Amino acid sequence: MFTITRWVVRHPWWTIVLVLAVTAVLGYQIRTIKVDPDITSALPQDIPAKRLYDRMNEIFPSRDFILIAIESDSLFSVEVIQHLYRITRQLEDMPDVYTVMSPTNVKVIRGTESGMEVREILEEPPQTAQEVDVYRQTLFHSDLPIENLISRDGRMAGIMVFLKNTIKPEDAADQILQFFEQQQLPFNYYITGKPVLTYYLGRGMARDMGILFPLVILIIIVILWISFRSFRGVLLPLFIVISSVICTIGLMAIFGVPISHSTNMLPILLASIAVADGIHILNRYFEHAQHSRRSKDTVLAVMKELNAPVIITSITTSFGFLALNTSHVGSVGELGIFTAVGVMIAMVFSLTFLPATLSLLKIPEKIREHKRRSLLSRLAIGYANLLIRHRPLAMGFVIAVVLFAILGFPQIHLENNTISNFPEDHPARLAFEKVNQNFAGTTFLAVMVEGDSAGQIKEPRVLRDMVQLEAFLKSLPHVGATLSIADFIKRMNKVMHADSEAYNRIPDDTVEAIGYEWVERNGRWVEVPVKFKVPGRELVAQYLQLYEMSSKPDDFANLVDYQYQTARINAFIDTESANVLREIEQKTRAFIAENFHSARVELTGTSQLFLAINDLVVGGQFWSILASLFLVTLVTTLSFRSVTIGLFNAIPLLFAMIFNFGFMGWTGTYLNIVTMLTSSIAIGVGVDYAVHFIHRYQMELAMMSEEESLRVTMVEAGVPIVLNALTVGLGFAVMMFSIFAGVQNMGMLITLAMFTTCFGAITILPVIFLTFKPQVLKKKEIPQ
Amino acid sequence: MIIKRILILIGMGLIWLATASSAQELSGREIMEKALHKTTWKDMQADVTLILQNPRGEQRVRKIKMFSRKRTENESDMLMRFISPPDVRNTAFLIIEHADGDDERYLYLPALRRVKRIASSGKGGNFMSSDFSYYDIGRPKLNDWTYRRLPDEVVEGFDCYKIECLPASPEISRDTGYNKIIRWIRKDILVTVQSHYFDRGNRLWKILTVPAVEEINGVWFQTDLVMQDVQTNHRSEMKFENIKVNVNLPPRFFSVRYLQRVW
Repeated sequence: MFTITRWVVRHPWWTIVLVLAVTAVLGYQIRTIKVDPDITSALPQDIPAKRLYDRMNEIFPSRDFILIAIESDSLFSVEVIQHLYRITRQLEDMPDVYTVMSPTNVKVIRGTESGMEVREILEEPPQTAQEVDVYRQTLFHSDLPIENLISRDGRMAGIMVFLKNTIKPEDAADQILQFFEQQQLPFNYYITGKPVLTYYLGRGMARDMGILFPLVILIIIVILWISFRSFRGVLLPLFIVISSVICTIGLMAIFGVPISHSTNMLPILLASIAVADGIHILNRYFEHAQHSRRSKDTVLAVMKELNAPVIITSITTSFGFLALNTSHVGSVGELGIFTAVGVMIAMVFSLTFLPATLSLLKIPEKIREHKRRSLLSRLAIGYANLLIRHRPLAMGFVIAVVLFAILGFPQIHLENNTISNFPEDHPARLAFEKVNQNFAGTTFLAVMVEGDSAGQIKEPRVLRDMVQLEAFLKSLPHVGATLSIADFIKRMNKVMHADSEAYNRIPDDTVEAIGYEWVERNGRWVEVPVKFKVPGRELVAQYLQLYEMSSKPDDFANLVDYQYQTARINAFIDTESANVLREIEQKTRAFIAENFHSARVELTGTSQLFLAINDLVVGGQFWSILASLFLVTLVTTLSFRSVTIGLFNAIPLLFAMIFNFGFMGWTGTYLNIVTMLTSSIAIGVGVDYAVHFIHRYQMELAMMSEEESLRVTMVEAGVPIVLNALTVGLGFAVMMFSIFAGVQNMGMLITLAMFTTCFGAITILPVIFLTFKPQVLKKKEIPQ
Repeated sequence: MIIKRILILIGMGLIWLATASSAQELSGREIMEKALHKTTWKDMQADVTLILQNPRGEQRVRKIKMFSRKRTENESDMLMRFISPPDVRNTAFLIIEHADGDDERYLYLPALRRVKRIASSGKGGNFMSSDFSYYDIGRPKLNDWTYRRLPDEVVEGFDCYKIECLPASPEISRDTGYNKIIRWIRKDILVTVQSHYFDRGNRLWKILTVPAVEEINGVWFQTDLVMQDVQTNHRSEMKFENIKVNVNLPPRFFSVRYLQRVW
């Protein structure tokens, strides 16, 4: 390793040019980076929920919809209805739109004296108040499921815009939002639905990137300036931070990894971590510079001492991030891999670019380090003495904290909710809440009903099971409406029987009825009544044929497949709360197992995807903590060549984990896809403190007593550890300025974790070392 | 000799040019008129296969026995009886055209033993859930459109007139859903072999191709029609077989009563 340092110092210009070239080449790739804010695309392909969801998208042409609510005190006025009519038509004409369901274009199935009529409720925009009145009467008596088209209080109209499966839903959301912004409308409108939320997530992410990254850079500049009071002390680590972030994002672009709700945090995480190596090296450089005047010698001396710890801590940090891959949530794994790569890049730059530039620069004339040093040193010695004197008290305090934290564990709640992630006054949240309070709901659970052969959906027993299931779904709280082909069959049956309510049901398996036949008798045609039996399925098929006589080819394409083998029931739900969705899912499954036997039934839809994410979060949380603990212990065990010391390194981390979960439990911070990242990151970054501390303590212990070693270690390692924890912690704390509650929480948790691992390293470890005086620390040689 | 032959060839070329230019003088409307009035059949019957295909390539196949007659110069009647699929077997569909009003449409449903009248949703409605509209399968009315002749083109190896048809009134446009139709009419037999239909936003909407034409008793029929909706990628094909012309179908054939007769 040191040979590289020597080469770098001998060829500083080559090194600098090489680093700049790599940064430029990778930086140029950033132009191809993709952005994918859709949280559900993080799901791995191989889980059943995702497969089922994708299969549904193959069978049915549209899945995502945007719901536009229009609010007016005079909803049923000529002006508003005319606007509604025009907007509906214009939305229908948009290229990304599959179909539009609006109060002005619903298909009304009406019984006429001699047949059935299917037509759009309005063929022309109404011109007079009377026409609007007639329209309103028709709408409310159409028997159609209008729960998502007219609000419960009748003051709002909803337009459901179904998007094609072939487009990016957030782009369509953008178009529709713009379309509405461009108009002068005499009423309030609210636009929501999963595509709109995804769009706003993307916007929020861009905003976070635009504000938080400069903020973290600013904080780094301030900390560097306070630490070193020199331009090189600020500019060189800053260059490493920025170029490693650029290189990492460039690599993401090359590998086609998008900026997602997870990788969005990468620049901030990486910037905070990447600065640490630079601080260590410069810290040592300025100390050495007090005694030496020759640049190259100073740099070589510093690097000889720091190559090893920088490499070890970078590897442990990377391993902590790599452990995120155990979660199976794709984007989280990507965050893990690329932050690990970024940390490695930062390490390489710190070990090459930094010595190269420093060896070119003259040693600064005066170095003002003494004053700060002496104050911090005195504090450190004081703290060491405190621990030595009040060991039992310190031990007691730590145990109390641990116990208290553990008591908080049962109160940890798992909750993913895209909506509560937005600030309360954010347009996305306002629109979502307004719409979901007043309409059936914008989250959907899709029940796929699959027959064994073509046409099975036309069987009355299947349709009856569907009707029964829909009634059950509607009886559940938060389910506002359901829609399926069975609703239309019911309606047709009623219409074909003179609008008699008794026929507002699915026909029986065999229907007995009276009809008329024309027969030729004695050369004359006469009409004779006949009693006859007919299979219900034929009746259903002929209703459908009657409907088709005046419908478009794909009218029912979203409800039943072409061969009438697979149908879909959509249940609209007014919340995204994973816990509510879970309850609906479990009850529905139980009901199906008991009552639905005429065809295979599977559940999918956005609600199921949210649940799948949640499940992965729980499983992933546990395994990623275990994996990262194992990996860092392995690396430290190998570095220190002792399992015991490897385990010592894990103690502060364990403490931080327990504190983290206790904190989440006591403060009611939800465990979700974002906050789950905390543990693994904290382990990867926080292990550095234990490594530095133990490394130093071992060195001192070779020469002096336990207590004296502790005092020296506290000064030589404890102070930089605290400074480092402050730097990294403050960097992470920037995330608290995100607009998303989830990211804010994560920023808080991870900052806290930096402080608790730091506390663990400089408090718990000394107490253990003083109490047990482990021999292993003495015997082993110092790692290189 | 050679010179003489060349002269003859040039002369023939000139004659061809002359006839071509005289054809050139035919206006779009005149061509349409000739195309519409060339046929002289009274009634006809055929076996029709209607194949609907969705964008995923799945098909619904219907077999139909079709009867048609010309009631007046501008009005026809059409009776269709379904042979398959089994669950709609024996349903029958009757269309009585009216030049000066909505068409009458009746469907006989054997499961109910009843005839149901289908409210006419304008000519632009889809014919039996296919991509053909009722207007597409009916006879184009000459005065509904204004015509402009475009430079001739060759379609599938046949010289064709190319005619642009624009709706004569906003009602026609609204009723049919078309803002423009471009037709390619084969010069030799005056049969439309390709059409482009444009929606009311003036975007290409549907493409009609005619893979087969057949001469039966001196009348040229399009025996295979494919309508592709280029916006939805849905596709419908109508194939005609066993066409018989002038079989003297009795008028009562096209009545509601006859519709109910059990076959």
